[in-house]
Order: sequence, then C-alpha cells, then structure tokens
Amino acid sequence: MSGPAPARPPLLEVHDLTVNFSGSDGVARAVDGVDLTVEEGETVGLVGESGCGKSVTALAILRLVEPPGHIAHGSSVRLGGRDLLALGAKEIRAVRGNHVALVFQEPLSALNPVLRIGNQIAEAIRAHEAVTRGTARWRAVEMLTAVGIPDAKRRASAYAHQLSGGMRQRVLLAMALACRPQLLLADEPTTALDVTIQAEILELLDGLQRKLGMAVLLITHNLGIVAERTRRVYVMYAGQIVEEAATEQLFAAPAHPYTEGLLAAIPRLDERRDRLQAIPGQVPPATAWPEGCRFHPRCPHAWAKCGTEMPPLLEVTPGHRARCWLVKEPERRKK
Amino acid sequence: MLRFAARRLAFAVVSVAAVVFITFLLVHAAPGEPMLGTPERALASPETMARQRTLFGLDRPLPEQFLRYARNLARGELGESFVLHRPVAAVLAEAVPNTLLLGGTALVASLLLGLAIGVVQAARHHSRTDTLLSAATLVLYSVPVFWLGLVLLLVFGERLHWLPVSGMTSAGLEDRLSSLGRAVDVARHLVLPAASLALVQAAAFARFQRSALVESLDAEYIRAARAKGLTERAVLLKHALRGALAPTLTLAGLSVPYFLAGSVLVESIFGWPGLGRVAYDAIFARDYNVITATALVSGVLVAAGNLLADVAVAIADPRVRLDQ
Amino acid sequence: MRTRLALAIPLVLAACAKGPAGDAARAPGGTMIIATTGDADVLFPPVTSVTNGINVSDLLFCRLAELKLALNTVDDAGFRPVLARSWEHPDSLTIVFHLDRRAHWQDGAPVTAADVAFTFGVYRDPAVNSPLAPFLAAIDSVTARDSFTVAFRFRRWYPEQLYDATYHMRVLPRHLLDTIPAARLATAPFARAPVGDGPYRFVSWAAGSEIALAADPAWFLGRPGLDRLIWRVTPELATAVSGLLAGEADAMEVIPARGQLERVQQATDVRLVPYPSPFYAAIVFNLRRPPFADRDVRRALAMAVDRETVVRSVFGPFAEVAVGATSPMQWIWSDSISQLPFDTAAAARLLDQRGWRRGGAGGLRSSHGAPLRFTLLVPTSSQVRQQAAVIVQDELRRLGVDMRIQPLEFTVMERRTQTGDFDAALISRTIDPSPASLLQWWSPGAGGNIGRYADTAFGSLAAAAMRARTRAEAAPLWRSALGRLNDEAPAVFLFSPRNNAAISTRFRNVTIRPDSWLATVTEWRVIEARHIARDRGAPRP
Ligand SMILES: Nc1ncnc2c1ncn2[C@@H]1O[C@H](COP(=O)(O)OP(=O)(O)OP(=O)(O)O)[C@@H](O)[C@H]1O
Ligand code: SF4
Ligand SMILES: [Mg+2]
Repeated sequence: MSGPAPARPPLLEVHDLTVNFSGSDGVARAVDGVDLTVEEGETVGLVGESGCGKSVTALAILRLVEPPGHIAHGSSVRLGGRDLLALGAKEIRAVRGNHVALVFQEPLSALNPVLRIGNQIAEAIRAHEAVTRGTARWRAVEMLTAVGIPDAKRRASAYAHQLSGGMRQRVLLAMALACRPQLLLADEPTTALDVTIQAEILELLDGLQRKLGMAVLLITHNLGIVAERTRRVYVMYAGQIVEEAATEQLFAAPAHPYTEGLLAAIPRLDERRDRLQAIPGQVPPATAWPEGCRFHPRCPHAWAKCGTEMPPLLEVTPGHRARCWLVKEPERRKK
Repeated sequence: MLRFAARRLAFAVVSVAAVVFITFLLVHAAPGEPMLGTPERALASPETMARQRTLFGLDRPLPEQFLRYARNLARGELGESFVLHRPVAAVLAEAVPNTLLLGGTALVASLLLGLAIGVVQAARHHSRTDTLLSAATLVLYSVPVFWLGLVLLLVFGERLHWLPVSGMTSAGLEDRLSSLGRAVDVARHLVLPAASLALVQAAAFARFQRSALVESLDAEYIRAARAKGLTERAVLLKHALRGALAPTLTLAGLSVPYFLAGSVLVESIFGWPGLGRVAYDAIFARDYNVITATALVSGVLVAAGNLLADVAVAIADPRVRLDQ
Repeated sequence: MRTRLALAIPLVLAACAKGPAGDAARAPGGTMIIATTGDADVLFPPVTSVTNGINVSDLLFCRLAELKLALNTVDDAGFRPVLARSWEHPDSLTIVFHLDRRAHWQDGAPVTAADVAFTFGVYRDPAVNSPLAPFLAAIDSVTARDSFTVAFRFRRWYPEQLYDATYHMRVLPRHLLDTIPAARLATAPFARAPVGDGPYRFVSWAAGSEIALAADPAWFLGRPGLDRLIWRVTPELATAVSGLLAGEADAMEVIPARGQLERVQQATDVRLVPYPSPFYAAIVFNLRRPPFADRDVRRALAMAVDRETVVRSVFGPFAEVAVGATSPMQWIWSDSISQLPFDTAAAARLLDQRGWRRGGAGGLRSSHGAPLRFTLLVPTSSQVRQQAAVIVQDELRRLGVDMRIQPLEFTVMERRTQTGDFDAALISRTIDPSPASLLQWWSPGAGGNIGRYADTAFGSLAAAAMRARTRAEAAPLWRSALGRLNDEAPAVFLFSPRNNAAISTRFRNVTIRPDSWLATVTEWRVIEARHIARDRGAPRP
C-alpha cells in the first residue's frame, strides 16, 4: 500500500487529533490522538461502534466542533500540506464545502426544512464562487440532475419534507459536490436508507467520485460496504484508532480482537442493522475511558497487562497496524 | 385549507360572542350604575338618575335587556353611549384606528427589536454580551408599563424636550403643517407611547427568540450550513432564524391582549385618544354599551391577531403551509 | 444707534408682512392650549355634565346675565348684562329681560325672546332629563312679550330669582333645534358641533383628544382677546403637568395634587393662580344607624378630629379648614361661623356621659357590650380623601373609637350612600355660588341628604335666610344656619381645597371666577413679546 514516501504530501493528513468535550461530569475525550491519512482520489473507510468518535473526527477535520467541544492543542489537520487548524475564520470557510465537503448521516435533519432545496445548493455555490443568483440556481439544477433527480428544475423549488429519503440523500450529495471538492467526508451516508436505495446511492457516489477524481473518507459501521467500496480502513474504538490496514488485509487477517468481533457480526445482505451489537458489553462513556487497553473490559483475551498499560499502534505487517498487546505476545491469544 | 379557515373563523365568532355575553353580565352585575358627571362634579339628583334609568331601559329585567342588546347587535347596532350621548359605533370608529396605529407600531417595533436582540444573543450565546443582554431583558420584562411610560415621558419629554409628551398632534399647529409635516408630527407623538408599550414586550420577544434560536442552532442543518462554508451571518439569519421564527410569530399573535391591556395605561399616560382610554372612561362611568362594545372589539382584535399569526407562521414555515 | 436701527427695520418689515394692519394690530390674538384630564361628554348645555363639557359650552353659549367676580347671587348689582341688556321686576313674581339687539347666533340669526322661551322648555322637558331641571322648579313660565322682551314668572317670591333665571340656563337657538324631538336633542349632530352665540365659535372636536374653538370677531360684546382656545385631553395628571412645563400647553384649570403643585411652583414659565374651589369635603354620618342618631356621639366625634392637622398634612398650604358646609367661593363663608372646638377631653367626657366607656380590648369604648365601631366609605378615585381618612382613623382610635376605612370605587360608593347602606362616608360636595344649595344637602327629604339629617332649627334659619331681601340681611342668617349645622354635627366638615390654576406667564390680565374659571377669558391677553409659533398659527376667520 504505502510504497516509498510520496513526492507530494498526502491530500489529508490528520495527526494526533484530540477533541475534548467539557461538561458537568468531567471532560470527555471523544477523539484521542487520531492519526489518519487519505490520498488523492482514494476511498478510505472509518468504522466503529456508535459513539466511538467517528463523526466528531469528521467535524474536527473541518473545525466544525462546537462548544463545549474543542480541538486540543497539538492536533494537526493538513490538507495538501496546509494546516487547517491554523487558518483564520475566513480561510477555513473557503475550505469548507469547497475543498472538503461533508455529507451527513441523517438527510432529513441535514436539510433546512424551511428553505427550498435548490436554494440550499445554490447558496453553497455562491459561498465560494462569484456567480450570479441565476447561474448558481442553474448550476444547482444541473447538480440535481447529475445526482439522478428526475425533473430537477421543478424539484429545485421543493422543500425537504416533500422528498423521499433516497431523494434527500441525493440532494445532500448534490449539495456537497456542488463545488467539486477534492475530499468528501461521507458520514454514514446511507444508514438511514433501505438496502436497495443504499446500493443506488453508493453506486452514484462511486460514479461521481470517479468523474470528479475526488477522495472519500467513508464513515460507516457497515463492514459490507467497507469491503466493497474502500481501499484502506481505519477501525475506531473509544476515541482511538485501534487498527489500520488495507481493506483486503483487514478482512483476511484482522489483528485486533475488536475488529474480529466486528467481522463476526457482519450482517447478511438481506438484513438491515443500524448498530453493531454482536460484541458483548458496552462502549464505556467518554468521560471515563478504562485504564490500559480501552477494550479490555470487553476483550476475551485480556490479561493483567491489558488493564494497566495502553498498547500503542503496533505494526503487524507494513501498512497494517493494531493497538493490541497480542501483536507482541500472540501466545496470549485464547483459543 | 378552506375547511381549516372556516373552522378557525367559526371558533373566533363563538369566542367573541362568549366575550360579549360574559362582559354584558359582568358589567350589569357589577355594583354602581351609569354616572352623570365626574367624581368631582356629580351633578345628578336621585330623581334625574331614576329618570335616566328609565330612559336607558335599565329598569327592565336583565334577561330582557340582554335579549334587546343581542337583537340590536345581530342587526349591527351597538347602541348608544349613556355618557357621551352618541352612537357607540361612532365612538369606536374614532378610537379604534388610533389604537391600531399605536398598538400596531408597538407590536411591529417590539417584534423587530426583540428579534434583533434575540439574534445578537444567540449569535454569541454564553458570551458576556449574551449574559448582559439576558439580564437587561429580564429587568425590562419585569418593569411595569406604567412606570416605564412615566420615566420615558419625564426624561425625553420634559427634561430633554426631544419628543412631545401628550396627544397625537401638536395642538394649534396642525393647520400650518403640510400633510407630510402632519405625518411626521404624528410619528413624533407616537414614539414615546409606542416605546413604552414596545420595550417590555420586546424583552419578552427577545427572550423567546433567543432560546428558540439557540435551540435551532443545535440542529443538524445548521452544521450542514456551516459545512458548506457559509458565513456565520448567513447561517444565523438565513438558516437559524427562519426556522426559529414560528414560535415568536405565534407569541406575537398571542400578545395582542397584552397590547390592548397596555394601551389602557399608555393611552392614559400619553393622552393618546384610543380604545384603551374609551374603555377606561366607560368602565369608570358604567357606560354599559361602550364597555360591552370595547370588549367586542378587543375580542375581534385578539382573534384577528391569532389568525394573522397563523398566516405569518405559514408564510415563514412551509411545513405548516403545506400540511394543511 | 446704528445697531438699534438695523434691528428695527426687520421688525417693521415683519409687521408689514402680516398684511393689512388695523385689525391685527388692535387684537393681538394668540392661542391658549388648555390641558385637561377629561374630555367633554357633549356640547349641549342642558345635558352637559362633565367639567370640560361645561367649560367649553360655556364659551359657546351665553347666559342672559353673568355673575360678577364677587359671586353675589342675591343682589341685582351682582350681575352684569350679557344677552339681556337690562331687566326689571314689575312685581315680586316677575322679571322682564330686554335682550341686546346686537346679539346674534353664529349663523347670523338674531338672538330673540322666542329662543329664551324655547330654552326654558328644553331644560324642563323630562325627555331631555337635564340635571339642571330641579334648579328651575321655582320658575312657572317663560314667555316672549315681543321679539326682544322675555318675561320670567315665578311661583313664589325669593331673593335669588334673578340668579335662578340666569345662572342655570344658557340660551339655545330655537331655529336650529325646534325640529328635533326632545329625546334626540342630546344625540343630535348639533350637540357635537354646536352653533352658539358666545365669544367663541366651535371649530373641531376630536373625541378623547382635542376641542378647538375660535374667537368670533363679530361677537356683540367685542372681540375676545385670544384667537383660539384649544383643550387638550391628557388623562394622566403628571403628563398634563409635564406638557405644561414643556410648553406644549398653556393652562390648566386646577392642579389637584400636592406633588404636582410643587413641580409647577418651581417652574419659571408657568405660575399658579389660586382661587377658592366650589368643593368641600365632609364625613357624613348616617343618622338612621344607632350611634349616630345620638347628637352627642356625633359632636364627640367631631371634636376629636383635629381638622387643622388633617388639612395641613394632606394639602400643606393648599386648602382651608372648612368653616362648615360651604366653601370660600360662597359669600356666606366666614370665620365668624360658630364651630365645635377641637377638644379631645371634652369629646371623651361626652362619650363617657353617653355610656360609651373605655374598657374593651385596646382601650376601645363600648356600651352595653357593643363596641363603638363604624365603617367609613372612601372613594378610590380620591387620593386626598383616602389620606385624610387614615389620619382621622388614628385620631379616633385615640379616643377609643374604632373607625374602619372601606375604599370603594366611586359609582359603587355613590350607590351605597344613595340607598342609605353605610355608616359614614367621606364625601365631597360641589356647590353652587348660591347658598340655597345648602338645602339640597341638609333639608329633610332632599335627595342629597344621604344621612337623613332633620332639624327644625336649621330649617327655619335657612328658610329665613332664603327670604331675606338683601345679601346683608341674608348673610348672618345663613351663617347661623351653618353654625347650627356645625353644632348638630350631622357631619364633620373637614376641608375646602384651594384650587390652583396653572397658567403660562405668557398671559396677562388673568382673572378667575371661582365657579367657572374661564368666565373672564375674553379679557385675557397674550403678552405680544411672548408670541410663539402657535399664536401665529391662528386661521383668520
Ligand atoms: N455536543 C457534545 N457534547 C458532549 N459530548 C459529545 C458531543 N458530541 C459528541 N460527544 C461525545 O463524543 C462521542 C463520540 O460521538 P460521535 O458522534 O463522534 O460518535 P459516532 O462514532 O459518530 O457514533 P454514531 O455511529 O452513533 O454516529 C460521544 O460518545 C459523546 O460522548
Ligand atoms: S490489548 Fe489486551 S485487552 Fe486490548 S485488545 Fe489486545 S488483548 Fe484485548
Ligand atoms: Mg456519527
């Protein structure tokens, strides 16, 4: 996968990203030292159970985390080598929606119910390009056509609640892609849809991605989708990346017990599931991550060391790393 | 939509009729009787009073009086003022437009001011500005209208001489003014009474709007708007405010009774010749027909306020519009 | 010298610019804005009942004759001619008035004897229900002898015949009213836009807001000094005073609250003009009820009230202690009227004698187990009476009397006193210039005698006073009657407020007749050097 060091910096390079939420019951470290890289045109998966910090990671990349959350000092997010965390308000606005776009997981709530959808797409264009209202509107209609909305001209003046779920997700895609971003952060773009529509949307995304030459960070808890659509995968647990590998590698030889648990729980194609539930136990609250390996209370292989020392990301094979002591001490694995 | 409108209208008619009925009963059940003169100069002898009762039919049994009143009302007749010796309709025709001007201006001003304050607060919620404004609106909200009116009058009228203190026009100068000059003159007279009415309610609107906005700022579509690269201003005014407007507009519709009640005080303080004054004087003089008619008009205005708010909400929020 | 000349030239030019001099030069003109707390009810003299309606219609319609400033209601010399150029008494039951032929209605028609006879008919008509009708009861008929001679025929002889013939009625234009049914007169358009014969003509009336009158330059007794009179309704007294101090208004008839008076006292452009008020306030006892049927109990209560303290603490310098059931406006007012002294020891002795002895809880007096306790009704509309009630309550408590105060809304209190449903009431009486009004309140069977006081001695003194031929003869009799009333104590006569008009110092020649403060307004003038914008704004009729 990662061959010799690339001549150019990677498109997105997240390093030691930490996001804290200060609340009445202490500080929640929702994202804790995440490293993550996306190359140009590449599709990368980010998977993990609910609440592990996937969405916060995506928001942090665009500095959209709102108080009481804040990105910790020492974090870095580089886009084509430029540190987004150091930009002024105006500059970061120029990045949002323009170079990096975000698609949300719940299309109904991500669309403003009181504004016409055409208007919501057009305003994204006008935020970044000096075009007239008419042009922006015309481009919005074009975009709606591109995402496969029939009779786009008429639909442009509809409101979100007048559309079906699939249509709304297409609208969200159109909105995100209106400025031809280099990177799309797709936060569970199909979770809310039923299976056939999921497939359609993903096909559409694929097509558009190829056409625009855009990279995608695909956030999902559906490993089936990851298997089909991504080249590399990051697995997140309790605010941390716990495993990172080429997709094939991950499915063939998962190194982290958590990933193993996830794989064992892959839903069959005809089954729809919102949450991964197969691993016994619950994700601990972000205000009180366990000592040592954060997975140890749920891990079938845990031993004393796991409860006291936090494992770093350890290399299994080049390009494949896992945050588990078993990498060093495979003999501890229980049969 | 038509059926909805018809139902709303029928409800309004029934509630106004109920208001009239209850007012009629209360007014006649209340102790005291129509008075000739003022407390300082009560002129009437008991004999004159007795004859007056007969002339007005007040010596008849109450059900008979009510039936007669209802019959006249059904024909669109509001009867005659005992004290002013003129048709109640004529009294109202002069007073209601003035009250609408005062109340309407105050309502619009308080709404705009309330929205502005609410937006500023929500834009930087939990900042020092927000806390300060919250404290200010809380104080303003608890200020009695009467007191506020007097303070404004003393400061801006008597002390600073910026604005006239009473009436709708400058006495003795009207005939020297052009029609534009007259409009400006009325506007100048309008400032203090409208401000007295508006400020308190603006505080209410601001508090309401702030919380509605802060809540709507939590919505996913706000984050989506930011993710598009929109400015905070566009996010706030175009995305957040629009959705958060409906509750405030509804409140504005429901605030009509506040403005009517407030106008009784403010019209008295500033000598504004409106419905509030008419009602106040009528209650004092037990001018039954006038009291009942002001209740009728107030009922209609309140119902109209609600109806108007519904329309405004429907314009602001397509979900409401398209659901019906 | 040169500078003075330079200044003078524009002044001359300005004077020329006004157009043909002459008229403008003789009549300086000017506008007076009068702030009032209440609007008029209607501008039709027979039914007009509220202060402002009376004030305005008084300037639109004339009387046959007017009382002079002294308010001498008995002697012919107390009156000056208005519509009547002269009058004579051919016999003891008749007065014949000779009308001034110059008098005319503002539509041009002359004022005639037929108008006077018509007017009497209107005031007496039950369908009109004029509150003034009872005052005309002694007049039997009014007949036109010819166009300009009218005779009043009385049922009996009494000295105030001229007063009753002239004071209560303002002559109405028959030719504009005789086609309107009597019951509709008050509601006719005329009543809101009248055509009169007075010094001022009606211009406009915006209900609840403003009434404007303009001088009639052709008024038969000479053009009034002020071109326009505008009443501005400003219900809130504090606002009205603010308007006065800010120069928005020029005058107010009366400033009834001490705090507001003090504001005006400090102003430089407005001055207070004091004059006697036509009011007195009294605690009236209901003689139908047990403790008050006893004259000595009433006297004891009266002696226990330190009226001087009450008046000074409520009004400061702005009121007089009442010498009896009168006000300084009436010519019978005198310090020589006998009054009960303030003497708490005597009061206590009197109550002890009558069996009301101390001993109850808190030193309360009681007799046969019944405490000496009563309720005083006070109207919520009157701050001063409520304040006075509290002080009286305290003074009576020291005597061992438990007086409870019940504030009531005005009309409710009125109803209770009219029906006799009260122990005692702190009332305020508006009186006429004529002392005959005493009988209206204190003679048996009179509608205003709410406490059912009946005393033959008082009755015969008053009757004798009513028959006296001259004021000099009548005065001692009236004063004895008042003294008798004080002695009998059907009421405690507390105070008569001194009215204070507030008038801009722009005006000169200001005099005030206490019963009708604008009675002499035709003489008032604006000081020319102090003309302001509105003085020049007068439309030339
Ligand atoms: N506004 C907030 N206030 C406090 N804590 C927050 C807030 N938003 C997120 N968090 C914390 O961040 C953690 C991660 O949230 P995040 O939304 O990133 O999870 P996720 O992985 O996207 O889950 P899901 O699959 O349910 O979308 C949450 O468990 C919560 O503790
Ligand atoms: S470190 Fe220990 S507890 Fe953690 S995943 Fe590996 S084996 Fe399980
Ligand atoms: Mg999420």
